[in-house]
Amino acid sequence: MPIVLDKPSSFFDTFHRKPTQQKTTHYCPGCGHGILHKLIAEAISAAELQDRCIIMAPVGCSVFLYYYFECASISIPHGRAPAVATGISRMRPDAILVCYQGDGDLAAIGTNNAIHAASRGEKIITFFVNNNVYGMTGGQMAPTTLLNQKTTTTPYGRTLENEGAPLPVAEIMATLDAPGLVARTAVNSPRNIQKTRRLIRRGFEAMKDGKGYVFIEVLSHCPTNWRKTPEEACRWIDEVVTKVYPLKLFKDDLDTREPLCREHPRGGFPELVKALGVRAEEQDAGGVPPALPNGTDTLTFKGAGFGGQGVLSLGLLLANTAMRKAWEVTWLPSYGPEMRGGVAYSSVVISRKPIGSPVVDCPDILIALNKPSIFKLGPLVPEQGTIVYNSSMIDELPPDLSAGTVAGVPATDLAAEAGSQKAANTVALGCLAGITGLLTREEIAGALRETYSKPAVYDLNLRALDAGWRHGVRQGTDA
Amino acid sequence: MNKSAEATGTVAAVPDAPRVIIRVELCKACGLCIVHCPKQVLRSGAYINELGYVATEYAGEGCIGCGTCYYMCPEPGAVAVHRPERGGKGQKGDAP
Repeated sequence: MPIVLDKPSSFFDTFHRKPTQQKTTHYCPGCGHGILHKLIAEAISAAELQDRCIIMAPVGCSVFLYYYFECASISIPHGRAPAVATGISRMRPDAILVCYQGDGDLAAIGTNNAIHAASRGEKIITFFVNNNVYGMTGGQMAPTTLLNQKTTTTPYGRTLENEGAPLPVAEIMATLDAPGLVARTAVNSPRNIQKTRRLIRRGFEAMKDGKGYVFIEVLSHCPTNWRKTPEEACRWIDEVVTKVYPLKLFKDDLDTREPLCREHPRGGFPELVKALGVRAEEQDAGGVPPALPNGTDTLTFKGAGFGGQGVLSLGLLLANTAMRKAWEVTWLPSYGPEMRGGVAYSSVVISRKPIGSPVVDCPDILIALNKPSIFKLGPLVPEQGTIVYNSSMIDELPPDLSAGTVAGVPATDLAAEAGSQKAANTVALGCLAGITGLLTREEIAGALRETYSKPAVYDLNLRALDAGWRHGVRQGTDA
Repeated sequence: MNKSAEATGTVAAVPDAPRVIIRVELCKACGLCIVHCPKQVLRSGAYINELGYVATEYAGEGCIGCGTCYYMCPEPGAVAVHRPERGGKGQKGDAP
């Protein structure tokens, strides 16, 4: 059998990126990406890992690599490849995770992700393609750009004073304990390519053995953005780039390492309940979830008010109470950075079926504790919906409300009568329950007891609940 | 192996002599293979391919099957190298 060097089998035969030119990549003539692609594909085929490899397609020039490699691949948000790979690795310990990242992806926006994944010793093989510029966006300065190197954003050359020093990523990675192999290579000459090729094969063999983190920085040439011919660009790596980024095997202790075996989470739901310390009465209520007052399978709720009015607690109380009735629930808080003031929302979805999304755009039920809330969210409540608003703080209603039931409750005043203005949220929830019959007073009182362990606070909220409840029932009867 | 891409490598006089096949329609004329070929048997040809590049061509003889052009070429399928067995077992995509 003659030896044949040809397109490795880990490449697709045809690249379906666009209707034409389905045999060529999108890379510029002479691009280092293509050379590295070939080496990686060859190593994957040689190690027979094609069926186990999952390649993270980054943001950058190599964004389309999923059109080229015939392996599983995922398109990852900018810089987050190590995070996604970590998740996959935890769920699929046998997967060979390949992070292929450029210097914009790994050394700029995703530095934190990359370093922490390396420090955790994730089972990831990372190819850090360093070509000193942002290629895809048109040659802007990257963290790895050399001093004095001219780019479109450093037209007079990068300076230490203004832009700082080039980031030596491989050197940084080599200081960590967890990575088993850290190296910097290049793909600019036949000699360097063969070194890179051997290193990549070693990396994949280690991955096959289940050994930890492998980091290979590859100096790549970018003739287009460097404004050089491919030949000049390759020479420039030898003459200039490697003086700043020396080619070196920084670390290789893979041979002395044991395969990484993570302990899988043991047991099932009962163990989880126990580990979380959930009490028996808080567990799945079981049984058939009762019908919802609006006659459909799902009811959406939004509470809104100033931060500090207890909007989030209100939603949580509603969700907790609903959960006891065997409904599926989600609770999604949303608030500004302020601890007090600002705007806070809590979205609750109650359903007889598993819930797909916790996001609520047009709530069936709205509790508005302040004026901006009802003006912003009130018009979104549909005709068959219900609005309960805090009439202590809301003296006028938006003109374009379409909700069938709009009930005011002087929540702040009633709460003050009950003992503290802070309990206005519980008043409003009591009123809502009184009007709609979604929950009974006793059900909410039960949830209150779980929420507030201090007797004084519990008593206060119980009085507030009763005040709101009575108000709501009266309103419901009037209507 | 790209069956659809046209193989235009000249078959050497000796059937099992080392040879390079350049699929001219996939060549982007970066010239890296020409520069690095140790035997200088590759050259810029006369054919302009559908991509608009002046495709590289094999001079027709002198290839030693070292694989340098294959590894320098950034395009996955533009260059293939054939070389008769030299003792050890060889397989597709394996090292020279």
